Amino acid sequence: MLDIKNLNINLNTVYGDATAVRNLSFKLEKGKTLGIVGESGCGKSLTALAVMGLLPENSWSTGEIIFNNKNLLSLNEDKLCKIRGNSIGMIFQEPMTSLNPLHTIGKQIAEPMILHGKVTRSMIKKEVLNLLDMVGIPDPLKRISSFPHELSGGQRQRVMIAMALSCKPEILIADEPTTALDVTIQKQILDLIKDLIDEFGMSMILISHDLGVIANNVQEIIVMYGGVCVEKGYTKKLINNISHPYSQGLFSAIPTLEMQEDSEQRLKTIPGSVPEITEIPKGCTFQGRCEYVSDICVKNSPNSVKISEDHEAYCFNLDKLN
Amino acid sequence: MSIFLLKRFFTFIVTLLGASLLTFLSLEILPGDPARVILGIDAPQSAVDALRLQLGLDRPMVDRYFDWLAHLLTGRFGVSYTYNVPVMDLIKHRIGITFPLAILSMLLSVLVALILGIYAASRHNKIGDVSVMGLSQLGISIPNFWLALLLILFFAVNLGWFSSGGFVGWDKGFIKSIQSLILPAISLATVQGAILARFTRSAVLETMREDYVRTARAKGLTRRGTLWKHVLRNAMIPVITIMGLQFANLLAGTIIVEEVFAIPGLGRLILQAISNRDITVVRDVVILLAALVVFINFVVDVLYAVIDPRLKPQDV
Repeated sequence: MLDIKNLNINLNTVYGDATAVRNLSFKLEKGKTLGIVGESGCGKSLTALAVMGLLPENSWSTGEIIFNNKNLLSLNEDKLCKIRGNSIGMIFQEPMTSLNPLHTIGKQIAEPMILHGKVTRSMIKKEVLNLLDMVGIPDPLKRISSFPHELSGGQRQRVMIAMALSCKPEILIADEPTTALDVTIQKQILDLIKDLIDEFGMSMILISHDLGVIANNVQEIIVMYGGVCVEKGYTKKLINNISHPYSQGLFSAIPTLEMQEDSEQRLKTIPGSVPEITEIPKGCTFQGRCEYVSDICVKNSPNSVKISEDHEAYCFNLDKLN
Repeated sequence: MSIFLLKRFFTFIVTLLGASLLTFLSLEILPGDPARVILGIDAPQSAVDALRLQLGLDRPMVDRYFDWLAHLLTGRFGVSYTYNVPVMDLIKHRIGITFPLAILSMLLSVLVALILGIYAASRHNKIGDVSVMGLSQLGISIPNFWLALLLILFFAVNLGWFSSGGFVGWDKGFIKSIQSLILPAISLATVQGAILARFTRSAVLETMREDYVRTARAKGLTRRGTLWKHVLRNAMIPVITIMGLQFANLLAGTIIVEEVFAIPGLGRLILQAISNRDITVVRDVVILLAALVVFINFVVDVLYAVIDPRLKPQDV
């Protein structure tokens, strides 16, 4: 249903042009869920915005984003407006600032449905009340006329979900939907999204820096680093056999309850930091921080290596690793 | 709402008291004895002293200040030294000219500024934006008295569309009256409008970068739809602040522009009163203008609460 082929996203920065996402390709089938995981600046949010056709002004994309047999990158603005919010919905990271402070939440939830002609005027209120109830906002009749500042962060994210799902899109893109929320609220929101996805038979792209969140909520994972995919595969296969040095680092950086405070065992970290977008090296993007780095990593970009059926990684040194 | 209004009203009173003190003191410091100015430099000192006594100028400053306040509170304005009529009468005639002039130029400036500012923002970094910015830079740079002269030369002398000065009086009809106010209004509005246009542009641009604008686009709204439905109202909050401040500038500007166009308004009255040391007129008119400015700012505060639900008082 969604087929991304060789997506490149370029940015025009003060230091010159830079490629933020390189040769990214993936498919999302109907009713399936896919997660993109990686550190900030790895290009995961830009990928989502490229699908929406909402890249920032100083950036542009090449390649193909095929959605229902149409290349979104070649559609004009008017046609994209008919797809956005209608066939593809999106939830953003910051529920605190993603709602218009001057409009009631009822009005904001109703907006996409009116825009895409999903309901008649007389049915709008009932439909909004249904949505509020569906996303678990207590007392919808009262809340429909509330303003965003009167709601908690979690409730605002619920409103965002109601808004994104109001037109029953085929794909939901959730860009770090729980990053700005309390840990206790995180699970509630993720469960809510998962339930609704199942209920409506939607596909989802979930974006997070948290491998734990991704692993628990999607069927397929893409690990990104420095604008490229370094590993991808079905969640179970990938988690059971994490292959790329970066994915391994990411996974071992998750603290577990078994770790004792004063024990010798310390949380593993990946040395160094993400390179600036203008300084991403040629060859493997992870070379600067990889403990297995060799000459070939600096010279060439690694090709896909099949680990097993539906699981591949992009690394020259996989044999050394295992 | 009532507590909100009460608080604002209290601020209103305190500001006015401050303004009255400042006005009174600055007129005290002003060199030149009113009695001497009224009687002329050749008048004998005894006559001047007698007049000082009659005008109450011999009394202590504090007494005179509170006297004045008491008069203001009871609505009894003073009597002009030079015109020898109650200040109230002088004001009554002139406020009917100055106030419409200020309103007219405010309307012009706001209308033009909003249109140009929003247009420029929607054409950010394109030729339309650059042109508007250049135009507004020009508008800011031209002093209003100079612009007034240019307008007179072009529209009154060469084209003959408007009169070069004076005010026909409201009894000659609305259209005629507005016609005689339009050139002064334009010369007043140009600078204010240019500043406001720039401000509107940057406020709109800033708002367009907000997360909720991206949300609106993700819903499928077009750029234009987003601008009208989500950006403008949010961008108006800072713009209204500037409008309020500009109203004070406009009133101050009338002093010069009314002089250039020979319009018998409050601005001219105050200018003549200052040169004549007609202190009663000066301070009464100044306090009236101050009250007007403070009132406008009060209106601005109320407007905020109307636009922004976050400021809406909880005790409605």
